[in-house]
Amino acid sequence: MVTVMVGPEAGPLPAVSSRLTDVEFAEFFRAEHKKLIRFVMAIGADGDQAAEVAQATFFKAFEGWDVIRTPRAWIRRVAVNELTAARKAARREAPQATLPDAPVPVSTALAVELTEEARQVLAALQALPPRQRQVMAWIIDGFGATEIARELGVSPESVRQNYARARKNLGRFYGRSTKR
Amino acid sequence: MIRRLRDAFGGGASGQAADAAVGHGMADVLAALDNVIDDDAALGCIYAGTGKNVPCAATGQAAAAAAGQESAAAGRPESAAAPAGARWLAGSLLPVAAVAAVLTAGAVVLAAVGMPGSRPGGTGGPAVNAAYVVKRVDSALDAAGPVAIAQMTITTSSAATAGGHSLATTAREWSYGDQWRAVTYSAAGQLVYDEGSSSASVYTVVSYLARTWARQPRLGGPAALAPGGCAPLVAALPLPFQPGLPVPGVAASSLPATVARALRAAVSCGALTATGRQRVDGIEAIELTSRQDSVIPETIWVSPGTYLPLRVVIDPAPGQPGPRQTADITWLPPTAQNLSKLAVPIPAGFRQVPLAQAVRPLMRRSESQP
Repeated sequence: MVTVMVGPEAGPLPAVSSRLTDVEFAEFFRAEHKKLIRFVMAIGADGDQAAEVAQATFFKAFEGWDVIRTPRAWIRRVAVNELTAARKAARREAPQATLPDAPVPVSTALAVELTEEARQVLAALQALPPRQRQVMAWIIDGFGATEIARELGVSPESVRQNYARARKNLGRFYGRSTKR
Repeated sequence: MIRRLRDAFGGGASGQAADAAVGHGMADVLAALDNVIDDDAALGCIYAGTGKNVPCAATGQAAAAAAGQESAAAGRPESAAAPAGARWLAGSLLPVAAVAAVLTAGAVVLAAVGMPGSRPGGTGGPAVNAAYVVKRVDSALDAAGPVAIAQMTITTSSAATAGGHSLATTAREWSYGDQWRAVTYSAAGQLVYDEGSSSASVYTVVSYLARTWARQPRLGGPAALAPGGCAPLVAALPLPFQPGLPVPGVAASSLPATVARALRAAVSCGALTATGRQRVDGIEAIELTSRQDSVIPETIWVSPGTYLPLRVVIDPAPGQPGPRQTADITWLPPTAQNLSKLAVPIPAGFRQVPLAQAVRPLMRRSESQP
């Protein structure tokens, strides 16, 4: 026997729920999309790679939106994994006798749009050891030591140490670049 | 800003100052991304996607078409030109999506060529992509055309004479839609002639040499650019001492056509390439120059903020004698006061004469110029 449900509980609810999810996700996307691209750039990707990683990350976030509890931290953690995976995949790719890919326009557009100050800071961040760079990227996005420690799987003290070293190294980097 | 970074990161700088400098720089990165990335287009791709890295046909068509042209030129299939994600990415770019449809083949080639970062005489700065800049200029001119009056001060410098002196004449020109006006001064700073065309295509010329004036309806329309619009920028500037009157025997290009239209044609033709940055009137302007094989060497400096041209310099052809023209451009809002600059006033006491008679002394003067 088949029971046919009628009334407000049947049919329309999933659609409404889906629409609410979409609206919520869209708001989050608009608030965080560019910040995530910047975050990925801060940890060492160029503009094209960062935008691609952000796309892949947000696609996953959209798929699992209902179960993600701390989306701001979640997308950053996933983006780091996506970047690592993309780099590994790039290393595995066999060289082919074809021309390199045509440049995609994010990096070229950013080359025009970025101010001198922005380029200098990005360059300074690229010169940091990976762990210090990651800590700086999280701090730039407003996360605290405890939260960063949880996401990176290290102690808060380790985060603070890396932050202190990063600041010191940034000073050294810039001092060197201005002496050239 | 460099000083702020140096202060922040230099020896002995405080941690707070370093944080502030990083904060400023990263805020700039976000601002730059704001100009480059279209969130809504990107979001649409997320919704439309059925899997990771699915290309977004709805928003990526224009940019993908451009990428396809490059691929075709390189002799490889479009699908190999860039990963699917990259095509999606291109689709989410604001300026590219907006203007890629008007890309000429030349501009696409420029995209592949790129440009050197800086050149002697310039202030260096980041390497900029020629096609990107050209497209932004094209869009900016397109947007400015109907809403801004282009005001140009044009200085024409002749080659130095045997005595080591060079002559410089100036002209002022205003252009707004199909209306224009050009006022030309002699090297001594005296007004030579004033001419212009109203929105109803009524051409008026005032000769200050002969103290005469003439008016002719249906004559003052802007010069039609060649099919494809690939006239050099010189078409936008009046020739020295040569009125823009479109009469037989006078080059149509001397008619000061709408500046925005002529500039847009030049940039969208792919005749220009970006060569670096240079300071113009206190602005770190982007420099665009004509290609080496160009008949008439032209250079445009555009604002990195608005992408509107700030200065245009036109040199004589290599090895050829001739004047150098420099046009400094200001973009004015179409207020009543600014619109009044487009009107050609008839001075009291000047005599109305037939058009040919009003133009004759100007033509003679033009012919006598070296």
